[in-house]
Amino acid sequence: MSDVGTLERMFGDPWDPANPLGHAAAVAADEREEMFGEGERLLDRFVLNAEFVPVEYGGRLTGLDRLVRMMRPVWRRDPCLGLGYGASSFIASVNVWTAGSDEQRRAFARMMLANRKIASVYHELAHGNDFARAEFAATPGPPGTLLLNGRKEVVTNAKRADSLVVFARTSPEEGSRSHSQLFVHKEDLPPGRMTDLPRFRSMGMRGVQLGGLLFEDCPAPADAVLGAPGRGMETALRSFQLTRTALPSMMVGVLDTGLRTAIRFTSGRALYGRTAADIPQVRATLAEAFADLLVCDAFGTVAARAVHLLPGETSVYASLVKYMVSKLLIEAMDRLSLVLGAQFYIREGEHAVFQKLLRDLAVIGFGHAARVACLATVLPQVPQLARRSWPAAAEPPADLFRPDAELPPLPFDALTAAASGRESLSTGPGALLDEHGADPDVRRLAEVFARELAALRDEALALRPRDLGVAATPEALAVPARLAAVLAASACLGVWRHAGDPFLKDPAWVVAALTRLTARIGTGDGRLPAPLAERLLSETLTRYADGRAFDLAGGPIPG
Amino acid sequence: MDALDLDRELGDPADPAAVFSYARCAELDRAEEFPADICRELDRLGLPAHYVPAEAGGALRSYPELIELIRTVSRRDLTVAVAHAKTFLGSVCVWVGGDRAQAERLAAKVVSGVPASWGLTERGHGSDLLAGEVGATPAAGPRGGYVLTGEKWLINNATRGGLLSVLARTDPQGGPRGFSVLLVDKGELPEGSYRLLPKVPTHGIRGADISGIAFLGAPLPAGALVGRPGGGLELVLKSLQLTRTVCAGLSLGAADQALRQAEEFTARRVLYGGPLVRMPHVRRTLGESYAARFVAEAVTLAAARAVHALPEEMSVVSAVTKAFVPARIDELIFACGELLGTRAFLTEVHDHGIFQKLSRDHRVVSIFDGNAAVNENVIVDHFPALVRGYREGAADRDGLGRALDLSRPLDAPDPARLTLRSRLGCGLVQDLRAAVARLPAGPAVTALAAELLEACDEVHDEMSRLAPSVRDVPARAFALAQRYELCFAGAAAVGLWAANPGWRDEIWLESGLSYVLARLRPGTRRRGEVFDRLYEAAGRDGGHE
Amino acid sequence: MSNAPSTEDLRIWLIQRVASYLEKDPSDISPSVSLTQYGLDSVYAFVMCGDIEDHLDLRLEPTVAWDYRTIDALADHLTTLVDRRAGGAG
Repeated sequence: MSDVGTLERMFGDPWDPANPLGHAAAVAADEREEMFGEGERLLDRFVLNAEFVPVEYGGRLTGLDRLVRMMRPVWRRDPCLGLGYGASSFIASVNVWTAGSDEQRRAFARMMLANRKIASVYHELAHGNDFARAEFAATPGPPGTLLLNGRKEVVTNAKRADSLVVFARTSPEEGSRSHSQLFVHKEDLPPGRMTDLPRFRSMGMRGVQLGGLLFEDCPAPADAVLGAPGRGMETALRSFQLTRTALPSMMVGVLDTGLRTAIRFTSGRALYGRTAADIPQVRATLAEAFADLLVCDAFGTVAARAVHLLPGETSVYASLVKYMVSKLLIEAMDRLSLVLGAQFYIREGEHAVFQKLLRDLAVIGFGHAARVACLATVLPQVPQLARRSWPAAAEPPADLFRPDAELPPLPFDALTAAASGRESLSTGPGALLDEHGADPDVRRLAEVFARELAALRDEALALRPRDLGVAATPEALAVPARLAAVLAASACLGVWRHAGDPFLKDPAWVVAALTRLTARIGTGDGRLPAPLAERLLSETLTRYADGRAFDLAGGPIPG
Repeated sequence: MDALDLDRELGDPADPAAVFSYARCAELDRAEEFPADICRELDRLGLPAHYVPAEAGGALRSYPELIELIRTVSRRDLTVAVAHAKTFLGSVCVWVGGDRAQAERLAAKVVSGVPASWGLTERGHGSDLLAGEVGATPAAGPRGGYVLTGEKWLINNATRGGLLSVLARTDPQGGPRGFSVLLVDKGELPEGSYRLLPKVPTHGIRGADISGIAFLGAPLPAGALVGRPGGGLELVLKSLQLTRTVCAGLSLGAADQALRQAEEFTARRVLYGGPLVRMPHVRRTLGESYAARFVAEAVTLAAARAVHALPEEMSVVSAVTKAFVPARIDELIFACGELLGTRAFLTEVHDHGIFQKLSRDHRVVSIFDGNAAVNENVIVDHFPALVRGYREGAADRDGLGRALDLSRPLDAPDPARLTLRSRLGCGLVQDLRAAVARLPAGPAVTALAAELLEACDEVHDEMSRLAPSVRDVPARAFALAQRYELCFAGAAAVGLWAANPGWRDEIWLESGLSYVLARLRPGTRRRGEVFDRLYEAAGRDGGHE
Repeated sequence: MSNAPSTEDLRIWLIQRVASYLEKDPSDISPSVSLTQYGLDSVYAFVMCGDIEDHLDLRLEPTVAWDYRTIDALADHLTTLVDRRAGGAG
């Protein structure tokens, strides 16, 4: 069996101090700045890598939303495992499935299924997210070879990976056709031409081996190129649509543990003669964190399903999920840290996992694409979206919002670097207003977001071409940022309308979710009124007591 | 010695050969080692005397100056600042409640470099001082004195401190009159009468001595009692009014360093074909961060001068300062971190990783000496007085004038005037209408000031509608307290402006008020270009520092 | 001040105040029980102090309810203060 429940059970109760796979062990590994060894061995046994390999290549990858759910137990316990064991290979893999030849895909699958590691080698410190200026070069060498020259820095698993997917300049010309991605096996490289740079230490993700590589006239087989030469940039942008969607959504597991830690802390703690969980301010913070978690999951899940169902639209969703979800998660953890008080600051004892999660999340929040870069990716598409899709586009298929509905296979070849001005998710609030008998609170909030979309349309149409590039003003960048909130609200509305589960069918959570999101569009402070907060908190505490996850699926978890 | 002297004496922090260098601080952080050599250097330069009131033989005459000294140390390294300035916290109870002889004895020790520590918290009780279990019972025998038993935990400098002000239960029943403050001189305790608890590993300030002490029937002389028996809680709460104000210096120093990192990086870094700072959103973020720091400075300055001029109002003023300033600076640090990208979390690559260090270190400022919830609770408790004072426009105008007019000398602080409940509310906010009326400013600022006043009216209306609740303070009350803090911040900026014509370029007030109003009225969409102008103006004014 | 409240008036008034803080019925409040036992601890005292000051037009130490811990003790103390003022005023 290889479902989420099995993986959860194999990990066991994270709060049991004697569990070698629990929080105490993960924190101890972090203190040693090492990967969580027991965790890695477990994931080897589980062959987690199979989750990154499509079924036709022998793996278990059937859908992006399933993949996200499978990764949550890992992120719930240790983000270093999530990144250093999981996501790093996933990022590399996507480029191979998107652009690789059949032979390259088979080779990749073989390695993955044998529990090997493959590093995704993009980053150069001097250029950050500006991939177009990457200097690392692959130039023609002796017949049949490419010569690699340059440095790559802050690369996850650079040292311990067996193979690399490398982003390299293959033409000195400026622009977007000057790079290629290379799938290189270390064993094919002659000794002495590729050296490891010293490890980069970081304040979070301390266990992850962030390394670097220096190539000096290092020959690599010419057929290492993934896809047509010069297409590297496009491949990267297409791959980002999967990684930017899936990674932040996996990290919802981090907030699950953060919230669980805060509840555990408050219910055991006497303060002023009562437990901290009795204090209304604390109750509101817990309820709001739960609402934020549901927003993150709804937006992430819908965007993941959109990759299957609406591949032409996902370039918009993916970047905005990354922008919105990473911010919501970091802020929710920050507020929860106030509940823990001084306890949050301590690196030992049963709540020590919290400060580790906070540091890990801070690092990944800045990860492979900073949040402004995500907005800048969407901004140029915004005027077209306004002209072609707002507010009259047809509604998306209902299966987009039904996590249990079957999905068509991942259409790697149908992903496009930029959507052609189409986007249908934002129809959510408008469609709800056309329905009769909707809950009045939901209607009121749907109206807020429908009005916001109309305002965004006007502002988008007024944007001038020079507002759309690197000189974009903060006001212009605010348009995709606010669009992210409208899309997240739409995702929540969609999940609610199509839900079968009693809690998800109830308007309470969607009213809470949309209320939280009003703060993102400047129409409210996002705080939940006390009765609504109590309603959500009661669900949170029930799930906590019953051992169920806080996400939409709410599946059983140990501990 | 003023802050500039101190900074000059300490030398260039970028020079790894300096005692107090960035490189050394980074190394100590990695090793989780106490910055003993740096603290000795601060002792040598005479900093401890500034923790001691002039009347007792020290050099503390002005709280604004003390805060600037702490800011200067914090700008270089927060761990050092927290480790060294702790002596002020450890001795403050004696300055507030001790007798003259006691104060002079302590003063001599502090000036000679003996670190003092403050033993308030205990394991499992968090900020709930009344739950404290460390007990002091009367000693048998004619000389009196106490026997101290129990464990203080999560105490800054518990191990290294030679002196400890301990809040101990002197009435087994506890209650607000059941505690007393005792000054413990570790050097005088018999061997075996106390035990030091191990260093607690922390998220930030990793080098600091965060530990604890267990008293095992430690005998204390009668003279260890500070103030009245049973007066401990009151004394601690009054002392906290001073320390919560002083804490703002830690935040301002961290803000200076975070901004310096962001400025230098964005000026040098070339991305998308030009320096990062050419991108409008980067300039906006920097400009808004300057505005945030300016507002925090205005709050801190008004509060620090109020220690001298309006001590009766410090219960409100210190609670606002401690709840507001560290939280805003945490946000500022986050914003600067987004500009630094990868370099915000690498510990060795960029400038010795000092950014990631300060981002971890600064988190502690919100936590100690009462977190935001504790302080906001104090504000909520004052709501009735604040509403009434605001409606009446009540203020101690003489005191307020002395607090705000920077040209006027400060009287010696008089701790005897501190009180646990400000009867008058908060004159700074309550005088806002009058201050706005006489504000010498152009139309943009005048409009913003009028809007601030309108927002303050709304906030006080909402405060008046909140039924007083003793046990279950609703979450809404805390939200309202946070909005009150913004009213205070706006009033501090306006008040300082009105009292000091030509203080700074008007763009500072315009952007400061814009910053405050954006948070006070989140539903109103407003243009942020004022922050772009502030960024440009700050550059013209000779550096963004 | 001929219409100064009696100790009994003050006791009844205090019982009503305390009951309203606790959202309880006044009949559930005993004037001889320590206020701490009702869960009214240190900070509530300041709120109450302000209310008493307004009611009696008196100036009080904010810690008055720390030192006089039952309604009975507080009512006696307040009566003394009110009488002293009346006496002082002639």
